[in-house]
Amino acid sequence: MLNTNRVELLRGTLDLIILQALATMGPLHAYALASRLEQLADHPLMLNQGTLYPALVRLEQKGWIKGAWRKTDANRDAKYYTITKSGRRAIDRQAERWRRLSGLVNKLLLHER
Amino acid sequence: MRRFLQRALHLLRFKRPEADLSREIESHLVLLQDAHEARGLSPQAARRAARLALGGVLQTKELHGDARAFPWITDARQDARYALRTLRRSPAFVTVAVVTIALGVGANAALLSLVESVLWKPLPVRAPQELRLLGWVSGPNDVMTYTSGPTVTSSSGERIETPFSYAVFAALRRDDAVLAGLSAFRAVSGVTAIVAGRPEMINVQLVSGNYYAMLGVSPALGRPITADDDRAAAAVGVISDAWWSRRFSRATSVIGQSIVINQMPVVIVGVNSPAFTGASPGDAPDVFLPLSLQPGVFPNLYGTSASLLDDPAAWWLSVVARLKPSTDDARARSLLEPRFQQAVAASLPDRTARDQPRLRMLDGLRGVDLLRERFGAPLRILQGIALVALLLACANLAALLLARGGSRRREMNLRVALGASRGRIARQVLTEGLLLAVAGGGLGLELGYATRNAIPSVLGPSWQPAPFTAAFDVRVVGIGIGLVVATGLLFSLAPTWRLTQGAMEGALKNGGRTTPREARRLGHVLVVAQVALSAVLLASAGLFVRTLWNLDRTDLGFRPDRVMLFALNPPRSRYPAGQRGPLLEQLEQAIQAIAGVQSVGLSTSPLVGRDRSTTSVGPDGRPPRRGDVDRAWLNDVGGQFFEAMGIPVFQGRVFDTRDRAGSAPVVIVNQQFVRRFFPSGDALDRIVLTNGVRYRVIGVVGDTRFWDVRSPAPPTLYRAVIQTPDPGGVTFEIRTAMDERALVGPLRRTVASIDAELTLFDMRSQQDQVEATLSQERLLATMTTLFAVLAMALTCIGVFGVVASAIARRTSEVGIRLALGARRQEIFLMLLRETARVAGIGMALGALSFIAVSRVLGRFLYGISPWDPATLGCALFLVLLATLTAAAVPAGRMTTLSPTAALRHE
Repeated sequence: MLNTNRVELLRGTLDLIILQALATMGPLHAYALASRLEQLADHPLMLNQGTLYPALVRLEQKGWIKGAWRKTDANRDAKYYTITKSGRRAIDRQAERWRRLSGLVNKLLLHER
Repeated sequence: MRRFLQRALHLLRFKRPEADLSREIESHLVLLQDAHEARGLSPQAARRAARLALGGVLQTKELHGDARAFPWITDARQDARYALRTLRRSPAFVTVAVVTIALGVGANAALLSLVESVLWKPLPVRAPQELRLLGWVSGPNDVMTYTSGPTVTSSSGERIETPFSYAVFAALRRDDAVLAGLSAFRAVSGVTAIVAGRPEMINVQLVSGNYYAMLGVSPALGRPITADDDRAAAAVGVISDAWWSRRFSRATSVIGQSIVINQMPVVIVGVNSPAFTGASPGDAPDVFLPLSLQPGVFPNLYGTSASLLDDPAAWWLSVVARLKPSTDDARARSLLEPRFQQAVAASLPDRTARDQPRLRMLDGLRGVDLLRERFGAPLRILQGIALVALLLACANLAALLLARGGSRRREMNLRVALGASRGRIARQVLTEGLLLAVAGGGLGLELGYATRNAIPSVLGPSWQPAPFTAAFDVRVVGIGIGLVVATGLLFSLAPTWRLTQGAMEGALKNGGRTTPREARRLGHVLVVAQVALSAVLLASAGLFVRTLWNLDRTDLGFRPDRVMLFALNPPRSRYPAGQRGPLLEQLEQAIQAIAGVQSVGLSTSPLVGRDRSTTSVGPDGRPPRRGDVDRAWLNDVGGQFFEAMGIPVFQGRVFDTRDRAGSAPVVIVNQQFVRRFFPSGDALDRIVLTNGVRYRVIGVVGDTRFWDVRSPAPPTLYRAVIQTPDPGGVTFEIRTAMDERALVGPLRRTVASIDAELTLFDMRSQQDQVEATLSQERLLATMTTLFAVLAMALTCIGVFGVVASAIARRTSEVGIRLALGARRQEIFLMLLRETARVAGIGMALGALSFIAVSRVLGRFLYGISPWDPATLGCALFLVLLATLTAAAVPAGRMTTLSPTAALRHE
């Protein structure tokens, strides 16, 4: 049974990772994205395809990525997702937020010591 | 924000993105399959591996769907479909539920539309919240000679007079500090209008020149009355939309048409819009005329000239003010009061020693709100009762749903086991409840709309149109919908809570049963509620029925049976002062000649007709003291009035041929008058001074009710019509040996034979007249009884349901007892005892609530105290009887069970 709570927690990081992947590697389809995420993350459960699709939908609704049907090298149909300009801006904003958060946490931990 | 829009958009075209997603998932699967095949798996194995890797496709789709649209809406759709399926399986229950809700909501909706019309709806004018109704209060030694107009009750309970003199009105109008406008008006009934040669009786509204301008109302056709018309006393008028339909067939040629009003030619210059019927809700004048036409339409009978406009001692105009937008009431009052005082002193300079009136300002949102005065209180009571009935219906349905819920225990547990959350199950059950509520509520709103005018038509006299019409407008529908939703939520709450709680608490292992105690307690609470509410309704109904019974049996002091009444107002220009008396005599003799007529009388006030006239009297010729101390009710009578009405004569004689226009003035008094003004007991040949004339008492007659059935007989003074200088409109009373309704045709013909242009109107029997004054009491008695019967029926059904399921739970226990040798009778009584105990609590609660509430009913009762023990006792007994009967059925059935069957029942 899918635990929807875990999806909520990971939503922020997943969005960022997807955008980053698309930014660096160019247009990818869902399968390719999933493989890429498998490579990146150690935790296998995180990349259950059930978490991937809602994230893609969200990002598409926000206008940060755009989907288009194309043919793969093997001549299969696949929906390729491309990052948009606002998506790139979102990466910068999200990245900045994470940097600040991690910096704060670091400072706190250092302080404690 | 963008996401929200996307989600909303998605909702509308749900199907296509589904296909897109399927395609995407399929493509994903294909790619995965390729990857697996590349690693060496067979196509089938590769396909399966791909599927496994992708995870639940359906779940993916669901999550996708959740992200795309609003998940709660898709869930709601699912819930609704499921609820419909479940409900379809129990048609009996659904029918009962829907009918119950429909009746409850329908009654409330109908009453709401009445309350809207009588209490809430503002006048259809510009910015009605700026309007204020002006009034005054005064000590007993007041400055006015003649007051004619309605008395209203303020929100603080003060009785406030509303008529003003023209002089005071004109003075107040000159204020421009706080007033944006001030206009005066007066309703006049019994006016003769001749349209295209045909005479008819109409109602007229005399209005000041700025009336239309101040109210901000324009006629739908033609032009309004203007200040110029009033100044020039122009003979123009604006007619109502209703009269335009009735009399002129909505022809646009009506503008410029000339009609005759009280022998005065008047040109119609406009037609009002259908929504506007003046500034008095409930009044529906047919024609609006300028105030300056008053002498012809509503002549002064007491002063030196026919004009009331010139007489500062005659107070007869209703006055409505429009405050300037930024003005607050306190400031307006502080500026207007001194101006008012000055105006009064200036217009009546030789009466400054008397009690000067003090100005009052009332909310004018509904103008001169006589409807609220008359019908507000009983309608509020009916509304309270209807709400109680609705609450009862909810309790009843909750009980039924609970009883039904027992059988759905396993279903709920299964759903929990399959992963449904408690909220989800609760939503499901609530949806069922809401569906029932919507179905019943929709039906109920239609019912309410269809029956909305049933009550107003009962409230008015049967020979006149209803005093008001129900306003089933947007506000009513909105509140109705709110009621429906609230009802649905209310009766679903208890069962929902119970079902979900039971389900979550690890149900399957317990055989699906929840703690019996919880179930019983909730059932008890509901039964107690139903019993209590029914008791209150039943007792209230009992009080009202007894009141009506008492009123019907009251001795009126005269015999109302077999007497026909009609009213007549000979037009003044054809019958000036000296000719009216002889005309009335002529009519009286002609009517006496009709076959079947026993006696004919006439009077200026019909008895028990909410019509009155009072006068100051000075016994033994001394000047009357001011105020109410030396006041008697006046009725000018003629013909054989006392004989026709069956009023006994105790001393002396009645008026006869000796009493003519020029002979010695004589009066007849009633016993109450003697008690009040001649306490020594002998009144014959004593002198009574009134209106400046010294009358000799020639007879003493029995006391009669005058205003209505309730009010006790007042001291009454009877003058001879023939001796009054200028009789106005009169009512004829005709006693007959046969059915009085057979006289209708002959009466009309007889009057027409004397003068074809004389119109008689308001033809009704005396009995109808008396009953019309009891319309409110009759309404209350009927409606509360209906609701009480409904309440009892609902309680029976509810109790039946709860008891049946409670008893079913004890089946195995009963089986054991039977097997151990208990007698069936004992079992029966044991089962009933629990119900009796619960019913007892309900009765106690009901009795207490009733005692608390019945104080409010006090003023509607007659001849019975609100805490009458017999009524309450009867009501409680009936409720107990009904409850026990309802419980006896399942209890009886249970005792006929065979012990083995009972034991085997799980």
